[in-house]
Amino acid sequence: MTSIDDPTQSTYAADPGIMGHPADPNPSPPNQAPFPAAGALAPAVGQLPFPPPSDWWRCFRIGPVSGRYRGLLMTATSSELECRVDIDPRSATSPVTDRISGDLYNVFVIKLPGRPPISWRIYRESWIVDAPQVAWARCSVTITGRLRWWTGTHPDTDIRVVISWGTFRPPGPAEVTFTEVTGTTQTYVCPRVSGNFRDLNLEVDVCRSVNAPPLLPSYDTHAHPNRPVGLPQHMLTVETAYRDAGVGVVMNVLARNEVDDSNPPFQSWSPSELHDAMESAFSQFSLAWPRWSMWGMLAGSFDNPGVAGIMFDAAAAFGGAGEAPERQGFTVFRNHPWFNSLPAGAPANDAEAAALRDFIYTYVHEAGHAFNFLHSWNKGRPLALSWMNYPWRYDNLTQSNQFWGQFEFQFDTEELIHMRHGNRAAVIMGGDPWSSGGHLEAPSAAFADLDGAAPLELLLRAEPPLFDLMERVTVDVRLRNRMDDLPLTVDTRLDPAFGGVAFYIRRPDGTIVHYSPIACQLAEPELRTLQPAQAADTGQDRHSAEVDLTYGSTGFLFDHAGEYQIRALYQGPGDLLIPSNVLRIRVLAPLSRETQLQTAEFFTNQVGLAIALGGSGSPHLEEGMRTLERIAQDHQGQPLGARAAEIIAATASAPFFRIEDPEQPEVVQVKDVEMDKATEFTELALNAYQQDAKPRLNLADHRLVRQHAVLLAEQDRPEQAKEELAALRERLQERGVRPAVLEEIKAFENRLGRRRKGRRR
Amino acid sequence: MPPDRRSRAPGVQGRLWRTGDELTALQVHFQEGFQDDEVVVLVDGSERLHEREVTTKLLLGMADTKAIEVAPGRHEIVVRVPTRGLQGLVSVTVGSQPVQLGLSIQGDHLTHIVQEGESFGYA
Repeated sequence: MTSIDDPTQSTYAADPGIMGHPADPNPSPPNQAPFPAAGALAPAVGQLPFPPPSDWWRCFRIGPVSGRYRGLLMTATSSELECRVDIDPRSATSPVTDRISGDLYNVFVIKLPGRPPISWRIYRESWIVDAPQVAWARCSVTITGRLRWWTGTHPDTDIRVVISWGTFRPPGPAEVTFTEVTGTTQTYVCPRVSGNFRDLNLEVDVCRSVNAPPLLPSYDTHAHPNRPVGLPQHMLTVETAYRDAGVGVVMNVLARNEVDDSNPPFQSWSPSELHDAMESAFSQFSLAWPRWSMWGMLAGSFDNPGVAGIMFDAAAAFGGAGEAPERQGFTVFRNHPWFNSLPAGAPANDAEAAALRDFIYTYVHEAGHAFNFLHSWNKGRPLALSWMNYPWRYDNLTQSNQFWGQFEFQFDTEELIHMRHGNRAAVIMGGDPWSSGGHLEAPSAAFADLDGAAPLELLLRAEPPLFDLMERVTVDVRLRNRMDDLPLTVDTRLDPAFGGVAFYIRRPDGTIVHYSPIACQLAEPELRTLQPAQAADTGQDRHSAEVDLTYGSTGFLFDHAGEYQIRALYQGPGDLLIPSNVLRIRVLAPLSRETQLQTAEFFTNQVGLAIALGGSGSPHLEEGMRTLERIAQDHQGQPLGARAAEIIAATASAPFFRIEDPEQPEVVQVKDVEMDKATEFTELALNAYQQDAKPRLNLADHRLVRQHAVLLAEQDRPEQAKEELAALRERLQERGVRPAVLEEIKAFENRLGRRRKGRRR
Repeated sequence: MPPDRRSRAPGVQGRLWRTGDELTALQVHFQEGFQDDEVVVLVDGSERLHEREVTTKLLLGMADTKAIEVAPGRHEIVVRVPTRGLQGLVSVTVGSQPVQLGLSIQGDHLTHIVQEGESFGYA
């Protein structure tokens, strides 16, 4: 319906551009009317009303309205909207899905004197309007509807998008107003930024054994006689196929690498080898994910020679490499029989044309998997004429040979809606795992994505990311200055108890919980200046700390076997907010019956509190400490036992004071330092660390030895302390720890001799 | 770059294509719907394949491919999936070209696709 109070529609009925007749009360939907392609400046003969009005040229728009608009909230520049409008044809080969959708971001800007401001965005959430009402006027279009949010709980929210245009000008900006049921409104002004709904940077590398043209597909849609009647003739490439789908693909040809696969024993690729190759060859692999980037590789053969291509970056259970984040890369196998007749140039016969057609099909199909597409039949659409179907499956089901005779080189409608308007996390590479797409109730900001280059990096690590059930789950948290030439001051208290870092954990059942420490601590920030990235060799550009997430105020967080995802958010000075990577860890189920039985004894509040407190001499936690002692002794030589032994050693290393009689509140010492016990359990832990050198235990190893060295020095055994510190240095050096850390241990070792003997608290 | 590679047995066991004048390859493709299943394939009453833990890889729409060499002519192929209590019979005529037999489980049914010549492609 058109708006009756729009003065611009007095001459023309609603229609995109100039089409339509003033007397027509029910103008055609825009996607059914021909429309001037981008750049067209005059309507085709026969499209004008007759006689044409004298000012037919007024508000003659260049290009379609459909596309992407981006802009800031009018009342605050801290919120940005990316809005995708999909209501009229972008080209003759790009279907319309009649949807609008958008992503909301928080925007952060640091203004520094004498240099351009640094800005980055943090993704917030996405929405879609499934059935927008579109009212075309001569010089504008108004789109209204109700939002459907992909995540979280929101009040009912209506949207009104008004996009206007001038004469011989492209449309825009879009004025987007959200109105909540409460009456609250927010308006964004969004200039048009692209004719595509989403963008993709694609890097394709090639193996030496198959490095011969063609590396990338290029197919004339009329090259093979088996094609749909009326199929427009055009040259199809990965870029044009995805442009039709609404995605602007930029081929990163400058970054193309040749992967050397010439080692004679090497015959074929497995999914994990492909992932390993991606880690080495993909120029963007080390950047922050998720991101709109993808890696492809043209290789020789897969382990199963019947496979022409694979998007290998998915869970192992699905046939992928099993390494998160997923959906970053795919491979096309040049030695597959489909490509036997592949010509270097234009095809000379039908066999060559078919090979070229299979070549582009495989490229587009595999990249489609990386957009989180399953095969058509796995989505209940076995007869879909889509890039994601198998031609031979379609032909078998229809008992015909007509897939290629009917396929118009498109994704099907549902796939287009997903790719153009789906929840960002479900579409973007490195977002949701492959074949998934739903989010459960996520606390605000949990699993937020970073978009752009923030000045700081917050990295969570646990290598290897495997923990035994009941083992303390600790992660290495690292802050790193990413600026080339600017030192940054950060608060180094990364323990969530101080409130500067928040942790979110997605448990195996999909629920997301906020880690809440058993006690909050209020203290002055411990500021440290991180040197610019050029100081990386010295380690002065970073700060690391180990954070124990085993037990919080809601209980044990990792009390079931399965995969967990951990995300942290660092709140720095001002409104600096930095999300970390998503760390995936796996908690392994116990193998023995005895250990399984031990879990009942372990997962109690007494044990949890003892761990969260780093050990305790309190009689209230005696039972919990005894359980930890048993765990330490029963699981000697394993991280599970070693991490428990650390707690016991720390407790034995210090005296304990308490108020024994509430009637007479006097603090009295109830436990002295237990040197023998401290040494016994320190050695238990160290034995495990020496036997099983896991990088994630480096910080624990370091802390434990220092703690024991101090104790030894206080017991007048400085030489033994120095020996243990020297052994620690040697161990850490073998594990590749930075020289700066080793030097710091050496300095500590030298200071020990000067340490005064005294009682430790 | 790929590190030093080990030799790896090909994913398809046995010869893929026609072997001499007498025998032809019958390629058995375990495709959709398998999940830790045991599959037995009998050709003319003789057990020729006995696979365990057959699981479809969702990424490819197949679990595995196995080759059986058979003489040209008509053969009765019995497929049993004891883990599902399923059994099916299909007659396949093998000529000089290899024959592809695709097997899938759909609900409580075994389904098959027979194709002569070129192998199914997976992507």
